[in-house]
Amino acid sequence: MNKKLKNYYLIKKIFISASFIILISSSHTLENNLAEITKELRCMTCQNQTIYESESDFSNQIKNEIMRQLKEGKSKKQIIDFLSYRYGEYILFRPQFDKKNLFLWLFPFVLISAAFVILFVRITKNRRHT
Amino acid sequence: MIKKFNLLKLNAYILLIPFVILFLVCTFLVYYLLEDKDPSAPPSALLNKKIPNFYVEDLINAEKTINQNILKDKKVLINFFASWCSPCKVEHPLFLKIKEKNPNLIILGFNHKDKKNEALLFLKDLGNPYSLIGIDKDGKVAMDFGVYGLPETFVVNENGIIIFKHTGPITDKLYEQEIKKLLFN
Repeated sequence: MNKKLKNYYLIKKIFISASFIILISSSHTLENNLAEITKELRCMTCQNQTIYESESDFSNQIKNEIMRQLKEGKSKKQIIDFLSYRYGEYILFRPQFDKKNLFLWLFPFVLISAAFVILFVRITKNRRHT
Repeated sequence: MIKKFNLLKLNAYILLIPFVILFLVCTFLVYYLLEDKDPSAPPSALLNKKIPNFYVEDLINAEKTINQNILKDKKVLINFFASWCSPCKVEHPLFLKIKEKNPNLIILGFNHKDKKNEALLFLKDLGNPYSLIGIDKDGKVAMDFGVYGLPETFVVNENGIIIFKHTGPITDKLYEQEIKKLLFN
């Protein structure tokens, strides 16, 4: 076998191995992304289960749809928006940070800040008195 | 002396603020907890939104297709059903009664993830109240309508807006009190 042919086979082997590795790693990434998204979604036909944990018909259909959209190159946000448009925020385990939920997200911080302000005012007043 | 007394009074009021806030928060939470809410029937996300586009094969006539344009300028009752769905059998006689009383009403059925021959047998045995039946073999249409459990029923107004959605079998009471008003007023 001449040197040229040997090199050709070597390159071919490297190319096939590299393609195989890329293929496996990309499918792993898709699986990881699918798991990441489905862990944040509620199975609407189950008792407090995520779509990731559930094997119900509804959850399997959502998993298939998410996988299809991931393969199309859609982002996590696009997929979540697609699902919450159809099923509402109920499908999300974590409420979205939007105008409607502003109170829910900010109220604890407002309460803590108010408590600190009151505490600060009282301490400074007490110091002034003593 | 008076100044000191006023200051003490002000301090007492300031101390009350956290209790007032706590009271308001508790009232707010109790109100929402006691409100008549069914956790198994969350509010529909598509209510007051435009009907999704669809393009499906007709169950009765395979050569025909059905799309959202047939609903144009009409009030329509949409029902997702399947032959394997027991609650669908429960509500089916009511749909027959509605169709009998209102022959001009368009009732669009979507046969969801079903076998064609079984769906046809279901209609042959129990009767066919639907004006048109689209095949939703892979559940794509149901997903676009936000359907998660059969049967589900929608009312769409003349502008193609979803004005009512119900998950589970419809009852006489529900029809008389809510659906009828939306369809014929």
